[in-house]
Amino acid sequence: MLRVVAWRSLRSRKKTVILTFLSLLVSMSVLLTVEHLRAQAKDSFNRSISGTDLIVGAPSGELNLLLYAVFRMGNPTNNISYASFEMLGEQKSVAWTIPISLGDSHRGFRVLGTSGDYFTHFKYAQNRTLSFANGEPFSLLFDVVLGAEVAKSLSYELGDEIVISHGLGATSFHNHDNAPFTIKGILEPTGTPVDKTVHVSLAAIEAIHLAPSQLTQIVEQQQFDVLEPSTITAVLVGLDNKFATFALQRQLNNYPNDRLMAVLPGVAMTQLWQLMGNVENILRVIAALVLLSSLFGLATMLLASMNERSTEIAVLRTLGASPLTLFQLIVYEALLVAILAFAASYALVSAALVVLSDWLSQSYGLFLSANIFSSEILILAALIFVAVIVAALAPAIDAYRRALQTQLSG
Amino acid sequence: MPEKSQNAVSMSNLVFRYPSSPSVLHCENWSLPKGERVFLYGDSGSGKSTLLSLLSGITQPSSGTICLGNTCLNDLPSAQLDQYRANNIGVVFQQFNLIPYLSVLQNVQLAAHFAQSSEVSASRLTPMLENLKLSSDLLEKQVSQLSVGQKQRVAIMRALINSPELLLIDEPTSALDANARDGFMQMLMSMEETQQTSMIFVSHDQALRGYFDQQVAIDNICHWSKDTQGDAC
Repeated sequence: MLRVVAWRSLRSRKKTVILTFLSLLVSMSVLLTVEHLRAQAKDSFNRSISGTDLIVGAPSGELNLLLYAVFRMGNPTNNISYASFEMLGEQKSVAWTIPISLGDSHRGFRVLGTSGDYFTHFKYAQNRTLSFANGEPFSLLFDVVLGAEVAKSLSYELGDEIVISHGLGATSFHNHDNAPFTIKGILEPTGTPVDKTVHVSLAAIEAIHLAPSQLTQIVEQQQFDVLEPSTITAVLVGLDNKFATFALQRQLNNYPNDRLMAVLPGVAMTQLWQLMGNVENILRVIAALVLLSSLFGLATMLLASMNERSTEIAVLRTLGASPLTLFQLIVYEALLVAILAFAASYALVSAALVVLSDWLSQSYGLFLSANIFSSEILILAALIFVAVIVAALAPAIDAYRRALQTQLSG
Repeated sequence: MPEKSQNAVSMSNLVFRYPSSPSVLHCENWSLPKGERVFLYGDSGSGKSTLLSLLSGITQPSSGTICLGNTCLNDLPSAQLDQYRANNIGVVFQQFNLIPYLSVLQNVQLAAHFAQSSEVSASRLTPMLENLKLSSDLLEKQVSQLSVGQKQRVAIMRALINSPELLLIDEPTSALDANARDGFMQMLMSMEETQQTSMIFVSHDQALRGYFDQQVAIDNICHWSKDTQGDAC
């Protein structure tokens, strides 16, 4: 019965209640979004690479190397020589190597030159290898393998012919029809940057950088050995024996014939998290402050209503309501508004994620699940409701005191 | 154990002082036999409303005793006092009786809720509605849509729904015109007759005294004085 009274009471003050509801809706949505982004971003980043023991590239920052080799973010400052890649493959402790050559794009998606080893040794999430939704790895010079996201957003299918341009823009002056690639395979979605990558062979990267006439000549004369690259961007290295990691890292960092830098993905990832951690905490604090301010709004709305409700309090008292009942009534009202706002913000954030997930993955490389339910969200909800009850204390105590002082003044 | 009291109300040595005012209200020993209806009259400010607040247990006396039947209000802890009021006392005010944002039915149900009685049944409501000349579609209406007269009649229904021992009524007719006032009084009296409830009816309107067996001037029971120390101990 008290819940009915609380509900009808709120409905009788529609305007202020709806405004308070909206302010809570906005602040709770911000809080939910921040929490969800935090959890998902970490998850999304951590699953991007697995099973790789060392990333080898030209000396720059550890983070920089990680960002461009794994996340296709930023640009490599320098390349390493192909001879160094061959040297790596000959090391005793090395189980496999994956060459990476970056710098080109296809309609906004990064093009990655690599070898067939990529499809057998590259691992993500919990040691999962890449699998094909359609087709198979590239075998000919102009074969291309697409990540799931690329195929989906550009509506490409197996056998389609595409043009790859030099440079990173969506359009390029160097577009030409001399090097049309054929789609040979499309990968299963992984929820990692692989999804938005266009994979070709190292030789193909060389080919698209040649002048059209040269390329035509090479293709006609079948002189494919000319296309052996002289430099590549980075190498992902897997070892037989993990204990050899540090020895090899030291050896590579001191390698006399080329300037190399080897980083452990785990260490670089931790660095990334320390960097992100600060941003994360700032976001959480801001979200909490926004919620706090709308809780003040809730308390103000309830307190302001108290004066007009003194007769209502008197009526409830004569009917036998105790001062404690009136205290409860106010807390109920606060909780009702908060529960509605929480449910609405939950729905809003979920819907926004469904609508925006494509855009987020393409523009920011964030692969977010639309399901925001998690134990952390439950804890967050519990904390929010505790905060709401605390915010309702001031008006509830006011109601309690008014109830005690009620007079039947006619 | 006291003997079973024949009085609906008995009070003795009652003293009440406002927390933040030097005025003190003293009341003589006074009692109302069960089933009787008394007309309590006096000017505004004479302590009528304060006396009603004390009788309903909403405010507590500084000293003295108020007993309703065999129950003495000043002995009850406040939670039980609220419960006792819900079950045994019906109150009708001058203006604010009903919660405006609830429907008529919900207002009546609320009274039953606090008295911890079961659902308000149709068999209980129908004769009351008939007596008060209210149509049953009124039940679903929001209180704020009712006329003043309708509100007062619903207030009587609400006050009587738990079959209280005592009915306290405070200036119920001041917002009504003469015709409506007489109609209201007749309905009140006929409802009262069927319920056999004791009633204290407070008004300054002497024209209403004819409806009652007993008329008492408030000045004969209670009087105000400035605070003199020590008289309440």
